[in-house]
Amino acid sequence: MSPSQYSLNPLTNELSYRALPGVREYVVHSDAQIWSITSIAFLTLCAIFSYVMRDIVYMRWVIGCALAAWVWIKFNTVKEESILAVRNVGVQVKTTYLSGRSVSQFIERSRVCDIIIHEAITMWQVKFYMAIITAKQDKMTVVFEHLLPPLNPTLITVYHGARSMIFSDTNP
Amino acid sequence: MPYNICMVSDFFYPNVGGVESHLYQLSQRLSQRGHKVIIVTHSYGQRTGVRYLTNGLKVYYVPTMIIYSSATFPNLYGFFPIFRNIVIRENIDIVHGHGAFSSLCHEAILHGRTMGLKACFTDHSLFGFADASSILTNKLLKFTLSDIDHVICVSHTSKENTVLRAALSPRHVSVIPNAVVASQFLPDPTAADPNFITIVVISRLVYRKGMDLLVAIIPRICAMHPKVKFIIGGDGPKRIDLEQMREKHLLHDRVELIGSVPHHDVRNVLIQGHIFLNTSLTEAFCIAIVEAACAGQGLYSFFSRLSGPNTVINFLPYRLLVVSTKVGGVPEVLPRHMINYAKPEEDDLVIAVSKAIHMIRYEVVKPATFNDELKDKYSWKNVAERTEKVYDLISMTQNSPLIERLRRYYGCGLYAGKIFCMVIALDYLFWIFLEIVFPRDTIERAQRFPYKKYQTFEYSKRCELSTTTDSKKDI
Repeated sequence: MSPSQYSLNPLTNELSYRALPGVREYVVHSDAQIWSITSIAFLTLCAIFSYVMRDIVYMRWVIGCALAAWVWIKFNTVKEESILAVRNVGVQVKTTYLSGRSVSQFIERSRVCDIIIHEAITMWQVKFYMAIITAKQDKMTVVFEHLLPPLNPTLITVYHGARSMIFSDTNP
Repeated sequence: MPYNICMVSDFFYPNVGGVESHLYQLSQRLSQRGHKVIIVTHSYGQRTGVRYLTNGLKVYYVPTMIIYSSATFPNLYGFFPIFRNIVIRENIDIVHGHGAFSSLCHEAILHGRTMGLKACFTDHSLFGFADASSILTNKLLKFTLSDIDHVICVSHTSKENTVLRAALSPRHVSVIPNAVVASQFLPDPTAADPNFITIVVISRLVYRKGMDLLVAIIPRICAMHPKVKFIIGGDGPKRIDLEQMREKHLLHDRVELIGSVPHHDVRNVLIQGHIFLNTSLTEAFCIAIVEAACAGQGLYSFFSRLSGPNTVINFLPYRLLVVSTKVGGVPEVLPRHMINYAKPEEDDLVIAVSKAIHMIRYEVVKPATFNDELKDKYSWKNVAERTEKVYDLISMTQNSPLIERLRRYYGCGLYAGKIFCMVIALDYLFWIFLEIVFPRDTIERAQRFPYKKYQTFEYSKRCELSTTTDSKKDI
């Protein structure tokens, strides 16, 4: 599938999709960047501190830890999450981080029991999420687990699109 | 005018009890009348998150810490963020708390008032004034009820008790008794053993239900009347005393301890009896005796409701006599001809039970349409109508400004008033903080459950039937 022919079409400011006969992919982007304003401010602050306190030995360790923490956070920030549904083959859920690393999970069609939208209570809020109930597995696979987009345009579009691929035999 | 109501209590299913079933039945009837009802309670083991019950009743199981007997550890401000989120996403107008022991209920009313919602409280139990736990709970209740729109009590005795405990004006307290789903307690006269007179006792076997009295009277009654049998259902700390009494007087064939009975089986136990005995020492409103009176009615009334005029009716004059201690709200529950009273003393109870046995044996009983009578008197439809009137009343009141609320809390006591004012002030500041950090427009509103789609009957006919059967889906 060459990207020029089947390109990513934006639907909303965070959701875009790619469609082929029998294949649908929905991608949710976050607006996280490596060099955001806060990161640049933080790095300049570290640079200033390391110059001002260059005599104090233990401050090097402190600044080193702060820089290491910043790098770790950037490595674990999610850039985009996607769900790819292929008719009669299965569903793939992928998470891409800022560093370029991606983690994906594939569930074959025979193991997909249902695709649902439900609400869950997190620490201090109640959020909608979309999940795939897989056979022979205790936990559901949550789609867009880190970004948790809103229900109204995003989740409902993805829900209908994915279900039409997985749970119907004819073209939508 | 349809309201969006949030019922809050620590006590809800899967915990079984009076408050839980009251919440469930009331919520079902209110949603049938067109309001939106959600229930907020704490999580039970693995059961956390959002669940949908029959007819789209949404329950939020909020993860909290539990200290004792399913009551939450009171963390005053920890509950606020999630409660505010739930209330905003569901567009709640009215917060209705149940149960004075439930700290979740007190917190929800407090936070609801801070956010400017209307609040209402239902009290289900009676309290003393003398012992340490009562004094503390009464002070807490005084705190919560200083700034509330309306209070509902389940009996007139309970109203007196609540008004005294919380120093309220009686004008702000309504009495709406509990109800029973009469169709769950249909009688069956063939189930009782004709050779014996069976006395049924179903209650939690704890001190406040008068188990010591029961232990004292059973041997005396068994000695006085040779053809009398006891069936005791329920479990608790006093079960050991009952078993010891059974061993001591060798009553193994006369006294049967069947252990804890799930609610759907209660009717099957009740129909085996001729007499229902209630020995509680304190009771705000005893729904058990209403259930018992329903379950032992004349067969005539049962058949005449369902079958046509040409059916042969087997007419058996029979009813479940109720014998109860005359405490608390019990005298308000049943009409005089359905119940025998006794003082909560051993001798008086023995006399009352003997009188009941005499009435059964010599068939002094009058066949009556008790199930129909009670069905009209104690119906959840009636409770929901009256509760809706309370909601109409409180929607018309205006919200008082913060200074007025502080003034009300200040009057709670010499030191307590000042402490409560500090709590309220901090609550208000916390609310402002939450409004800034989690603005209202970032909270996505919940979808409204399509009630109309799942209701195939008109609501009035629906209210007649039991709500335990699943709602029929639209085809």
